[in-house]
Amino acid sequence: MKVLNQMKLEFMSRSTNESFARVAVAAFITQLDPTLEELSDIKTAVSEAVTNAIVHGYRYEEGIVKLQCKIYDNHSVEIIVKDRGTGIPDVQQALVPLFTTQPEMERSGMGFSIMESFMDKIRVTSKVGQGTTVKMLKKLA
Amino acid sequence: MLTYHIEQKDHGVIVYLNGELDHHYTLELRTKIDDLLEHESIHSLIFDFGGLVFMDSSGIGLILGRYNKLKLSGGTVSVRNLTPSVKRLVEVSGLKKVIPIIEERSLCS
Repeated sequence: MKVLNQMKLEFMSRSTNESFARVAVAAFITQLDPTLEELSDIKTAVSEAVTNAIVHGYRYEEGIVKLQCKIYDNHSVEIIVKDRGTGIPDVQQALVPLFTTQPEMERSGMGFSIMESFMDKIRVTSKVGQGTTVKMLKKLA
Repeated sequence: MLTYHIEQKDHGVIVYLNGELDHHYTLELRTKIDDLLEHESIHSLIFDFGGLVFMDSSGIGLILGRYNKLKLSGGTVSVRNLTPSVKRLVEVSGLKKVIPIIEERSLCS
């Protein structure tokens, strides 16, 4: 697969940037002429990943979230969301639907499940104390 | 951007949402709704999503949180007027199994 276009963003871990991130990605991928459903799926997945970075990675404290978006020549989109926050001790457990470390904040524990449902592929790599990277891929029609 | 207004009539509350509901807005909305639930005797809470164009799992958490709260006092939570993208999220997240969806005004509004 060849990269046809790509962009990188860095922003502070503020909750206002959740909408900024998904709108920026949506604007970038319009060149692929996505359907409304594809666009909505990708926006939701970006929102989940960025919210995770802010509320779990940085635990509402200040940090930098990095977002990368690549468009490949087979009409697919890759999105990478990276934080340098606390990291996830057990990634397999974090992927289990309804699992959450913040029930008191009413986190539903559905973030990763939604990313998995709305994108074709998702890979989570994490190291405690160093941060988490979420890589997602979706092929458009 | 999210705008909302909350309507109370007797023991029922309807929350009308417009725009995008994500984590950024959930805390404020949760505080507003819980204020009502704690001070008034509310038996029914309805989220009207007619103007909502985006929601993520933070919104699911907000709805489930209110559901758990009202369940204790025998009250109900339901959602209505789902736009296609919100409907998809409600289905994928499994919220549909817990919260009734009111299908009114769908064809004859």
